[in-house]
Amino acid sequence: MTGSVSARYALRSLVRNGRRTALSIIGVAVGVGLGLLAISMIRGADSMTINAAAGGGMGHLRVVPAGWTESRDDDLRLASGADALAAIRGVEGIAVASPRARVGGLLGLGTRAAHAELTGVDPSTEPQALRYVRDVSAGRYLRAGERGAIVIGRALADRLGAELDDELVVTALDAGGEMQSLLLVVVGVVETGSREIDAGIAQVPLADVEQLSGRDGFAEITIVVDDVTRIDALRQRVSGLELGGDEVVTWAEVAPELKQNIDSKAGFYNVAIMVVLLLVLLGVASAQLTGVLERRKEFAVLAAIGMRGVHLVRVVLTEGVAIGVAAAGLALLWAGPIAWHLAQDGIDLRTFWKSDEGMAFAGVLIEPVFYPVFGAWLVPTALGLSLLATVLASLYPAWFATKTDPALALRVDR
Amino acid sequence: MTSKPYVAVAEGVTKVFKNGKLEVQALRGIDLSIEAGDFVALVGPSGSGKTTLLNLLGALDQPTSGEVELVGQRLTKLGKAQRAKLRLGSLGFVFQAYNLVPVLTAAENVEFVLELQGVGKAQRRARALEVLGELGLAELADRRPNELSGGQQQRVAVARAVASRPKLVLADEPTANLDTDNAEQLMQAMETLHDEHGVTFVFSTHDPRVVAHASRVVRLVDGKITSDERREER
Repeated sequence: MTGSVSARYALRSLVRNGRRTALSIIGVAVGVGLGLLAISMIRGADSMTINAAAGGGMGHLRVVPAGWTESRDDDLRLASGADALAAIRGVEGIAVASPRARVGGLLGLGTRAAHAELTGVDPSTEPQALRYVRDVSAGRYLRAGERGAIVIGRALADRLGAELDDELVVTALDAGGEMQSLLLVVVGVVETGSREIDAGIAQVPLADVEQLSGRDGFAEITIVVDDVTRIDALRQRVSGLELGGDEVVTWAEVAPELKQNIDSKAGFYNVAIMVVLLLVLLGVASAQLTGVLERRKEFAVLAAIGMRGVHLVRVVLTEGVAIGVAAAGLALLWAGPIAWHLAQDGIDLRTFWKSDEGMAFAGVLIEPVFYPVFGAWLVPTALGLSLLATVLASLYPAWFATKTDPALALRVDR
Repeated sequence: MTSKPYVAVAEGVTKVFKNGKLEVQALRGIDLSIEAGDFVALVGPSGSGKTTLLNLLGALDQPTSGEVELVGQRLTKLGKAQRAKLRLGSLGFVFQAYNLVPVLTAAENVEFVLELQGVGKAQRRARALEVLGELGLAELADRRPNELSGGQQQRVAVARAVASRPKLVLADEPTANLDTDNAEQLMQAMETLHDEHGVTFVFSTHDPRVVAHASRVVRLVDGKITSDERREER
């Protein structure tokens, strides 16, 4: 393009009024830079929320029995078993695959009782799938092969008045409708910082849930992946394994309200970014239009010698593109280092959230520090936003340029 | 209307400009035929309609009534884009105030028209340098207009007008802003292009010394042609 005279004309016209061009570039760069920082933070916050949800027991992916998505029935059991679990664990990119089964029951200690949903787990993998039980605040976590043990949350322990080594009686209905009971020794108490979440933690060995519920096997396999950007690809990989009709769902299908929350936040932020870009666009359009008005005589001459409207449009759009590219570079120069710095150090939400209570949403304990995302994506995004603003801003001035009447302009000149 | 030997024909052309309720009759029934190879001076006082007639012959404007035919094409039947195409392919313009693009060099100004015609980079560069050379501007090819004198700028404008080998070059008072020497140099350059390459020129002027170069003089008064005189010797 720089080989063409019309491109040189466009670029040199920008240099001719350097101050206006510089102000346009700075204006676009400020807007685009703010947009980049906003997108970086939104992506970081979304990523943190998804990982918090995954680490909070939801997993990035989950293998569920056929029909579970519609019924949400925890009594359903997977058709696949240990072989499928081993195959899933062998897939590259999967950090952990942990089997679970659930049963609702009544926990009792002395005169106190509380309803709880007991989660049967594999103690060797569950702490990797559920971060709340990685650090047990009192006692210890379950051991592989252990039976008759339970780890509960602080809120549930307080409700029951339970301490370590207390024996809880759990009563549940099995698959045949018979009452089943077990004695469970409290081996650990978990304190997450959120009483809402603590109230829901009651983990026992998987075999104890099988016994209480009268149903063998897993109700789900919760999968945590190494890289959230690969969730969909890994879903395809796992779906390709021999799962006997079981389904693989994502966190978004397990918790659609969380997905909706993320999407609505993204929508709001996108509108905010568009408003900033619109203001930038109007500023650039004004500057471009001024440039066209100042060159009406030139455009009239060019039209007189045979330059068609499409060529005039190309000249004005070339100017817009040049401003856009320069502004994208400048935006990366000022916003890139800030995004990098924030991605390294993170943003501590406790600065804004003045409470000792942990931040929980939809049963997910939110991390207090989140890390905005920094990466090569900033470059195409900066270029895209910048060019979108400047090219759109150039359309009206370009159209206006084509309306230049060569005869009238030359007459004015005389 | 027989158009074959003519590059431009005006037949019964009138032009009325309206400014609110005020109407100005700029041209009143002009009949004029420009033959290929003509070197025509349009002469007349200010307001006689010279520039208006050049605008019509240059497909820059449409007549109020009558017909203008350029290289076989009737203007009234052409749209805006078709008129631009006609100007690009068949016409050249030289303006009173030079009107070179200030951010382009002399050579680039000449190349611009050729680029619009789709001529390749090397070819258009060579052609621009060739024409500038013919007009004695070869050494100034890489200078911008503000680095050239008025006479040099106007010769660059002539180079731009003839580079694409148009069938007709229209010049609106091309010497009006030049001193006597530069005006004479410019007219000689135009004459050379006419004599050696057969370029057809139509130019408006007040200057009797410029008129002396013309092989045909058309006089306009109050929008009418009062005389159309061919000369054997210039």
